[in-house]
Amino acid sequence: MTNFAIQAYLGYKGLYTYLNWHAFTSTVILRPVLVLAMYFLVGRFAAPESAERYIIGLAAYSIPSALLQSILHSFFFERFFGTFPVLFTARGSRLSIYWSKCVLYLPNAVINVSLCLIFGHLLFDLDMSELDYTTLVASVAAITAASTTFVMFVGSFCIVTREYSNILLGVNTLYLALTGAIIPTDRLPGPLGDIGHVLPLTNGLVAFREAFDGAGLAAVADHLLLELAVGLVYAVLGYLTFRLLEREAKRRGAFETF
Amino acid sequence: MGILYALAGSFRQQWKVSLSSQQHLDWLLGILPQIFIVLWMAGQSDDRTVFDYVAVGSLFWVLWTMTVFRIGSTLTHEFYEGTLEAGLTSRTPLMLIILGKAAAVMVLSLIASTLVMVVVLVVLQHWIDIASIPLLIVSVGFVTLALFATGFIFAPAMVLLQGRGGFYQALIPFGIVFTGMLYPVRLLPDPVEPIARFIPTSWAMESVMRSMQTGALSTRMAGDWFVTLALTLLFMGLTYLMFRVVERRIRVNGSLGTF
Repeated sequence: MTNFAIQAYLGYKGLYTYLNWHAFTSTVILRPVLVLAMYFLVGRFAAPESAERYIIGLAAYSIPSALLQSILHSFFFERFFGTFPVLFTARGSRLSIYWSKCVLYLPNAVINVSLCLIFGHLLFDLDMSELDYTTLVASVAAITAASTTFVMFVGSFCIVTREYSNILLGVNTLYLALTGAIIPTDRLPGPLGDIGHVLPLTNGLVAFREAFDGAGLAAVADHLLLELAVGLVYAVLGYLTFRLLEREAKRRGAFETF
Repeated sequence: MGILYALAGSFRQQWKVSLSSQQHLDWLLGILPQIFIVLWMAGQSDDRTVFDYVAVGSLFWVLWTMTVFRIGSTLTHEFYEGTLEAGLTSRTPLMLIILGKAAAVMVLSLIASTLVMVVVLVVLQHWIDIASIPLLIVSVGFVTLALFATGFIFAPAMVLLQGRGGFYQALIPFGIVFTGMLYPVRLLPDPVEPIARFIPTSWAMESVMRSMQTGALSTRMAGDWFVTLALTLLFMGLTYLMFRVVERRIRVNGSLGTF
């Protein structure tokens, strides 16, 4: 446990280059609120009656968005700073190494969603009068857990790419387009709606939305369990991918040959 | 004449660097799906002018996203690439060198983003209703100028603020939220609307809206252009002062690295 804590702390301190006050403020505090404002105002310009739907969707979307920004960043910089070979030659538990790479970024997700909801309420009149706080907290926890395992899975691919921003943009777009954050999944053409259901956030978002209508935990339990199940699949896939890449890296002797 | 020669030289240098980079394509591919999402949102309105406004504004959204980071980084790149000291020992003002480079980024990005928006509209089979094409062209020119001035201020500001990675994460959406690119700034909440009024692009975007809706030049449109120009000049003036501070500091310290 001590090793896990040390790994998590040192990895966070060494690889999270946004850990200075102006980069952190820009990335974790301001960006999610500004992205929410941008899409909300376009929504209000086009169809004022749907605008509240966008605030809720984008507040939930800010959870995976925060995790993508930070966890992918740390995976990429692990390679960029050349510390992966050290990690892969260490004798420590791989399970511990893998999961230590995400724990200290989880507060970013909670900060993001909280700020989005507070600003949504204060500036854009988000109605919280019927909000069920238990359901809200449970759905935030489920979305955060599922999104973390998915982002960890995607993060492994950042080890083998020279530039991670394309992966970041691509996955961010998948979240925006296919999970129901903006476009309802039943209005997506062809199989795109089905793709959304194998992504984290889609199921959790249903519960998150229903919390604002006063739905209790029992009413949204199915959605939350589905969200957690999706997250579990990515947890297994992510860890296997990480181990596979480690094996390949050792066999080839370098990441650059990928 | 010497000024033009220096300007053309730095423009040409940056143009070649930008053309040889795949970065333009990466940025465009990254933002393209988001354009479709925003246009889907605009399509929820029964009012056709909403879609037209968002479609035209998306051009500037792409342009802002493509340019602000790279224009803002032109001066810091000079340092990282080791060419700053050579530039400083020449007699050409630092701002002029960076201005030429920033202009190259802007022109190339304008061409790329225009092509993207034409492709998007062809795919969607949507034609924008424009009451006056000449007025729209002038208004688009003002928006481009305003965007350039707004982005250019970050070249010296990034050095003065010791901007590190992550600085642009909020700056890019900030530029979209407060400049009226995708919606009129009157839709902003009252407490924050005054911020938008200090940014030249928000005025220029109002003139774009007017040129799409009315076919004749009005006093209000001319007023929008005037305020855009005044604020653009103010931004350029501030940029000039900041460049002087940067240049003086570098000469005193002997190196940009000691900032």
